[in-house]
Amino acid sequence: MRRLLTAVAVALFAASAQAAPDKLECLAPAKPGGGFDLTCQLLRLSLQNAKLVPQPVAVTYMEGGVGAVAYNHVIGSRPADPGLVVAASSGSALLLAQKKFGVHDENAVRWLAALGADFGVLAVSGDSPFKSLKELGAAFKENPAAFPIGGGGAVGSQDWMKAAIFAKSLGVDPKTLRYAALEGGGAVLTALQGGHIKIGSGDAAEMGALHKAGKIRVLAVMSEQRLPGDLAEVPTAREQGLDLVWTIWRGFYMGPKVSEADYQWWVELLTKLVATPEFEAERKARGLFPYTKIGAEFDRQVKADVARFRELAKEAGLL
Amino acid sequence: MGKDLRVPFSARVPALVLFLFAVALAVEAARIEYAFSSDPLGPRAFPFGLAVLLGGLAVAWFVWPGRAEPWPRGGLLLQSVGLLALAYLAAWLFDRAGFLIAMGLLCTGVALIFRATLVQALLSGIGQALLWWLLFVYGLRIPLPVGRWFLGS
Amino acid sequence: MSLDYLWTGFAVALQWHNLLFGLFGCFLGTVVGALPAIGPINGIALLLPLLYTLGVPPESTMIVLAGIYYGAEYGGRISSILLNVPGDAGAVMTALDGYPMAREGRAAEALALSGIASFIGGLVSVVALTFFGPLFGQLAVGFGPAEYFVLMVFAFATLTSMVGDQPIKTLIAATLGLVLATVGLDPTSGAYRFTFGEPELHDGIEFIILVIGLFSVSEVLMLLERQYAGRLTLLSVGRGLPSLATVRSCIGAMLRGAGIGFVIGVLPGTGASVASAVSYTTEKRISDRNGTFGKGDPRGLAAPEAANNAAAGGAFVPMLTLGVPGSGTTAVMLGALLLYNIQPGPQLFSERPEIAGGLIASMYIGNLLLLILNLPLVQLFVRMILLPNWILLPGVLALAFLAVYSAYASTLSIVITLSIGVFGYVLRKLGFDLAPLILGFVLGKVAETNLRNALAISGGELGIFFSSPIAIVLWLLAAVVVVLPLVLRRRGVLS
Repeated sequence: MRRLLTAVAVALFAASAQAAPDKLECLAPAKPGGGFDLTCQLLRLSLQNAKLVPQPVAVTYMEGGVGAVAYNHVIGSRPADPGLVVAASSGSALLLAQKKFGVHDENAVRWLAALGADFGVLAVSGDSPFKSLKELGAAFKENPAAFPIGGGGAVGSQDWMKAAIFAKSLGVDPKTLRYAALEGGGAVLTALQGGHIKIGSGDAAEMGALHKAGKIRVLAVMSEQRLPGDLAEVPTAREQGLDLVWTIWRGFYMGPKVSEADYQWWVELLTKLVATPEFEAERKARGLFPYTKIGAEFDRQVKADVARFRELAKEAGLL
Repeated sequence: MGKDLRVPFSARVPALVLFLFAVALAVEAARIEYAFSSDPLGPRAFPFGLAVLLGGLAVAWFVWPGRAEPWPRGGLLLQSVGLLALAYLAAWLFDRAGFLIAMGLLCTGVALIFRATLVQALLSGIGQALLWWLLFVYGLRIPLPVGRWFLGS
Repeated sequence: MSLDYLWTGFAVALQWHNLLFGLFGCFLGTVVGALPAIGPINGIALLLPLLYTLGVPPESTMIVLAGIYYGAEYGGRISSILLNVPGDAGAVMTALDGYPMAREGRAAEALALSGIASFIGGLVSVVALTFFGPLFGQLAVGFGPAEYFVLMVFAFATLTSMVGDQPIKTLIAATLGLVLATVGLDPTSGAYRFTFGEPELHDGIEFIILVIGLFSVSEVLMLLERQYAGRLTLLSVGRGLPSLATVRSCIGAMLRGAGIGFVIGVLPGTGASVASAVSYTTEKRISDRNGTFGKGDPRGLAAPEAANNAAAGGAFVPMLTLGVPGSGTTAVMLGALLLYNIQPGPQLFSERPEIAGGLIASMYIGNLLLLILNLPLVQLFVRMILLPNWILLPGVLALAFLAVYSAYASTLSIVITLSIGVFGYVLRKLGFDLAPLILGFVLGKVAETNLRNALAISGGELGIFFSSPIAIVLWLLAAVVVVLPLVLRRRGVLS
């Protein structure tokens, strides 16, 4: 009996094995619906619409430790899978910098590409007296305790880091921040509107609509240039004299033992993909801003990010 | 509470175990590593407080053990342990030998424990393994493991 | 707010193709809801890209998604009642009295009654959403960390109803639940607690893993024991519909459950699991005079089932009135709107009435469809427990494996589930009730996080917990819940 079962399993496997070398899979290391899922869906739908490859990209999910479980899984169990890419973000780099992915560091995988980005923003409620980051900064510096800050993550998360570099640039010790770690960006928006926190730390894409509706006021975008769309009139932090940039890139990595040829196949595919109008449309539909880094350039970028985050974490007293 | 004094000591052993667990919990809670917290309590206070509470409750439980059911023994114990061993084995085989084999084995074995004839058990095992496979892999598009042992070769 | 959008919505939702979309969504939702750990998010994630690629218009997409969402709330109860395998987080409390009813041979009645409770909960919430949506939106905004914490104090106060004849064990179980909730990433400081260097524990113990282990795996062991003692008899499914008297006796429980569920569902920081937990404990506090809750009391089934459906409706309030998601699933639906370049929020009612209205109208229609679908289907579903044990019980274990694996894609989580099952079995043998453990787990995380966030905001000042009218009202309610039954009981003794 067992032999029969084995035979069935092998037969099923053989059926899928024929297409295996070029079976494409995007692993979102989270529940469906979050940012990692969005990254995989961007890849899946834009590849499908642009018709660059015949086979569809399957999106799979592996929740755990904000990506840590998938990171260890890929390194341990599927290191040489040529068809597998895993969604990652600058948040992954931040966790790696704080050694929160377990024993492996940023050199344990092959970083493939970033296909889009979001940017950090600082916001106040719509009826706040502060109209610019400068005014807010001056008042904050005077009495930081009067400005509870809310973000969608714990101490050490991206939202906390944005608040920390803001504080540090004004000479305030990030450790003394009155920081509330709320449950995600939506909670930050309601807490701002309800006056439970005075400053909200978040991402541009999720804040744009409520800014436009006047419920909250985004005081600065943490990008090099102003952003298109709902936040077009909001000046960058740099314009307001504070050198704060926080890029939330969204991209992919591959297993460490993927061959150079397979890696290059992906690099070429994605280079072709990002030039298509179909990709443009899908990127926009997901609220992502243009930000493309592919192959070696991206690899350097990630490693530089991790080094920079490690430095920031040390200065903030996290390490 | 007088009649509780006649409770055999073995009824108080679980309370002792719980107390030791509470002590271990307190020690672990006090050792939680963190850089700093933005709140005055920090990550240690809550679990530590719970450990203290649990320790106190364990003492109370030791004094008043209350009612409990007898533990399984003899044939029942064997069957229970067998069922669990089968379940853990299936979990171990799950991604190694694949879903079909692990699930077929589990369902056949459990069916036998629940007094199926061999034919019925095999029916239950093979039938369920295939049915669930079809439902999940083809119906819901949720991939199930094919088995690492076969992928390696 | 004028209701014109709603008429537009009904006109849209009642088009025959949209009705079909709605029916399809309800059906798919019931299926994914009944399968444990696979919830509406999976159904939506499966379907959304497909609908988008096929060029289905946004209002039809929203109608399908709402159908899945609602259908899942109805479906979750089926496996809870029949197999003691909760289909989703909101259906856990449903198992507490639903499963004992099924074991008593009242499975059909329990299914039908819970279908009616689901309908009442859904209806109350969608009516409240239609007429008082913006008002409740303001309520959601009023809840900061301090208010959430006091809400949890209220919830713990209702927990006093769970103290049975072995109060020490009840307290131990609740404390163990609180302890289990602390495993994983501490959401405030970012520290990992009790993870022992294992990344799979970084997110903590998943609720559904805990519940499947405690309820389903331990139940198989208990049934084995019954078989050995010769007490595992074939079940009967009982009459189809509950008697009018039973339904009438549950109306109060359903309405209270719906009210509590809706309000808690509106709050983005709490969800269907908290809503059904609080409604269960509150109902027990109010109605459980003879200690029948937990042993197959229809009211203990009706209250949480109404509450979890009402919470599902309530979660739409912040999405539609504030433009922020009220739950994980509404976050996915919010994403669906964004995919079509539609910005949710208050302006949706005036700018895109066919979508806001179509969505709400489809909730009315969907609830009705589900009630009509579900009552006759009861006879079909209950056949499941007539299967011989050698099919049914391997099936329960197979479902447990599948649920856990498909949600967390790891065999370690299966091992954890089994171990929690053994733990649950040991606790049950020692005379523990598992419900307080589940309740402690559900409430513990919300309580600790909000306590610490509030203190972070206030810099350690305790005044923050008494600084808003909402907080003060909740303190008073907590006091009433503890004191009132004592007073009533004393008066009962005196008179």
